[in-house]
Amino acid sequence: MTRRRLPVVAALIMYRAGSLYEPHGKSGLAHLTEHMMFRGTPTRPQGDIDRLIGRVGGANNAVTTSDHATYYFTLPSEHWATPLAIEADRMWNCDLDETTFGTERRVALEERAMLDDDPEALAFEAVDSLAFEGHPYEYPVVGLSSDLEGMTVDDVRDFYDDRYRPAEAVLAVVGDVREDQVAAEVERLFAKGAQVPRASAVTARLERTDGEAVARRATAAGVDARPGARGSGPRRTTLSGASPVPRVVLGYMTPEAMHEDTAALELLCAVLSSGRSSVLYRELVDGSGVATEVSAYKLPQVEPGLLYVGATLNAGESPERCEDRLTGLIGDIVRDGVSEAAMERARNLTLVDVMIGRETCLGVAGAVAFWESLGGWRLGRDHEERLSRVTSDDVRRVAEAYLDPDGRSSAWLVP
Amino acid sequence: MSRGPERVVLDNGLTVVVERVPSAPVFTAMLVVEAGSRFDPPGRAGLAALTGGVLVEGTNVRSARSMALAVDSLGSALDSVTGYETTAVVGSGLGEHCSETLLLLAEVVTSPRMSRSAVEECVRRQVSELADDSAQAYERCRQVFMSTVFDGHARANPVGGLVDDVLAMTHRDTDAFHRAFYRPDRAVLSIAGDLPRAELVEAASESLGGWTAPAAAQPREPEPPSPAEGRRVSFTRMDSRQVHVIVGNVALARSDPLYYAAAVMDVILGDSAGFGSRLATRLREREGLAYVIESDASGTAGVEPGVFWAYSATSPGQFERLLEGLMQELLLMRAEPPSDDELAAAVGYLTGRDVLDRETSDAVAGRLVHAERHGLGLDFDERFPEHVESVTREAVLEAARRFIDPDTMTLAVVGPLDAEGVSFPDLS
Repeated sequence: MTRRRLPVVAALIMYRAGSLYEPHGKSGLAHLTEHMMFRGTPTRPQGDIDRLIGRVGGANNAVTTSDHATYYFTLPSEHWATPLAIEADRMWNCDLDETTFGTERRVALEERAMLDDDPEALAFEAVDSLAFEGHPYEYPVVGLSSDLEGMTVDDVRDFYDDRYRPAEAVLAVVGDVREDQVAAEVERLFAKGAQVPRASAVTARLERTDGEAVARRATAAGVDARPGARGSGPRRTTLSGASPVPRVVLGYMTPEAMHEDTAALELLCAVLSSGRSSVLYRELVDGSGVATEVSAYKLPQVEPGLLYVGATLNAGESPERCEDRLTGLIGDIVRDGVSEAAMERARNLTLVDVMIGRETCLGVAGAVAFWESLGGWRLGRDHEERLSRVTSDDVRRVAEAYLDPDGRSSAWLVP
Repeated sequence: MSRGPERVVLDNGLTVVVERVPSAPVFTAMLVVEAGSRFDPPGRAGLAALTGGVLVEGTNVRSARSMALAVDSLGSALDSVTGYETTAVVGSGLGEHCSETLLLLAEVVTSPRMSRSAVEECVRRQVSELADDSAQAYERCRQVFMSTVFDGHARANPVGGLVDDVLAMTHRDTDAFHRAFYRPDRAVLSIAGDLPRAELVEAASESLGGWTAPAAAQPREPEPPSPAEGRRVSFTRMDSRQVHVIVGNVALARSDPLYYAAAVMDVILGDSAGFGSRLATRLREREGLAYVIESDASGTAGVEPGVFWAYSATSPGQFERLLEGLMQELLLMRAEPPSDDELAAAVGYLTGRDVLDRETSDAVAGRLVHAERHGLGLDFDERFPEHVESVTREAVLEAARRFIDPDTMTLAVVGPLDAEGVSFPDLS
């Protein structure tokens, strides 16, 4: 996509290579593979990528989520071809040797230890662990220390061979470039992968026909996001000594990003926590002084995932009272619905977030790649269109369908 | 259409700098007031942050709730951020709501309610956040480092202050601080967004042109910090998984002639793209000792001298090796100039990144404030590459020798160690 305001280009490649595709007992494998992708190729020694990008003023990094591993660049547009050459090279030729693997595994273990010292990260990991039992989303993307310690370079090689192939990737280039030139270069660099089929083993599980089929598969793996499907009661874990002030995180199972209810659920999150007039801010921060921070958000995920509702409490406040208050406020929405004025505020705030995301070439590239990986980049436009049409009845309906008090998982962190 | 920034000074002394950023139909407005924690009175550490926090809790004409409804109805955001030197009140949203959001921003800044109950609520929140920070290993390490480097100076305190000081504050304190420091002749308003510059200037004038400066003289400038005498070691035992370590010392102000050389040094030593710096290449990429390792000397350079610091965290069993490697790299940086290739790469990084930093209205508004506060001129963006390209290898060495000072260096360590195991390594 051409954007000419500044001589800047963003390029990213998004692989369907997140933690969703890890074999059981190998948590952290997708993320460790992402680390290894910076370890060089036969023609590009370790550190070369950072040197090449750095000396022209570019920025590059990667991120692994539950669904994807994404490698991204922003740099002056005259160098637009450099990231394409880097990605074509490491898609096929990544050096995966024993010595560098050992070093990188130590780095990953340090990253794991860093998260162990982060109360907020621990709270979300605890909720995931309860809610996704038996499903790959159960485990943190960075992995468990015990799994990382037992991992071998062969595990990384297998994962790399399986997931890092053209049919599992989306490449997006946005900025001050000519589309025909980019297309020709991509053809030249990546054409040899045209005949490589999609990954086999795990992909079969994800081939989708309709939302219901996906929900059934997820159910088989321990996750059920169908309206009407209920747990046997709320599940809760309490971590003592992990946080200096109390924290509460609730997780409610909701459908995958492609589901028609996703837009209404996002608006529900905005009603709950966007802006100081939002329900949670007004009632927990501004009004009662129970909390210092509140949040509600839903990650767009390939499979059914959680809508999180969280609060960081003032010292001395009770997590139990806070959780009761949170579920009570959600109950109010189910019972009374949402006013038109509150809906309008939520829509406006959500729209501004979308616009801010479009300010950078990288923001546009990321959104385009994400929706393309789910089926087509135009789905992003459809989603924005859907956001603008969500009604208060929709928000009340999805709150009732998915934010069932008996189906929630919660984590309390207490001092 | 004319491009670049435009600057006007309103009759009340408020400096306004605006620039059109046509990347998306949004805007960011930053009213930056010389009212940071460096102006906290003795025994009132945290007052600047408290005052900044209370600003958005209601005005003389509308309650906090009514203000929240007004802001959110536009889809805008309005908040305040206090730092060491300034407090920024930041409004953002869709360009079509720029004027209305600026009127709300002006109301917040010029006529805050400062009610007793709002101040009490903000005190409680600020104390809770201080407790949260001081019990987390990284934040605690940063606090310990700053309090040791700047011992006896206002910069020793966290911006949020000290718990006992904050607990003693009332609405009378915030009101007095507001009256003394929030005035148009010690503020800069920058606006960047997808609107014509003339429209932005007009919106600024309409919203804040009526803000009157008090007759009282400007508050006195605080004394800048002095370098510490001798090396210092500060250790705090904490049952965290990692040991967090920061080494550093008082460094340079933004006006220092070696500022650009320090920026180049930062890229070479610990602040480059990816993991290409000397510290990351050795201690992360080669030795696998840490996930995060970074350093910076120019980033905190302000009206007052900031700090040079190098930070990392590792498992207890690797702490000594990490610290030794880190100190060796700092001393190497002081021992000889960088290679021609390192210099060229760092200069290329800074000049290339300069363009990338202009993508968003938020970033542009921040750059406008930076240039105005430090007297860099409206053509700062155009001249930035010249400044960086004129840095020599010798200048980088001089910057390293001035700003990485082993003789006055502080070592701050927080983690699950015994105190006797914590000291500067012998590198002789």
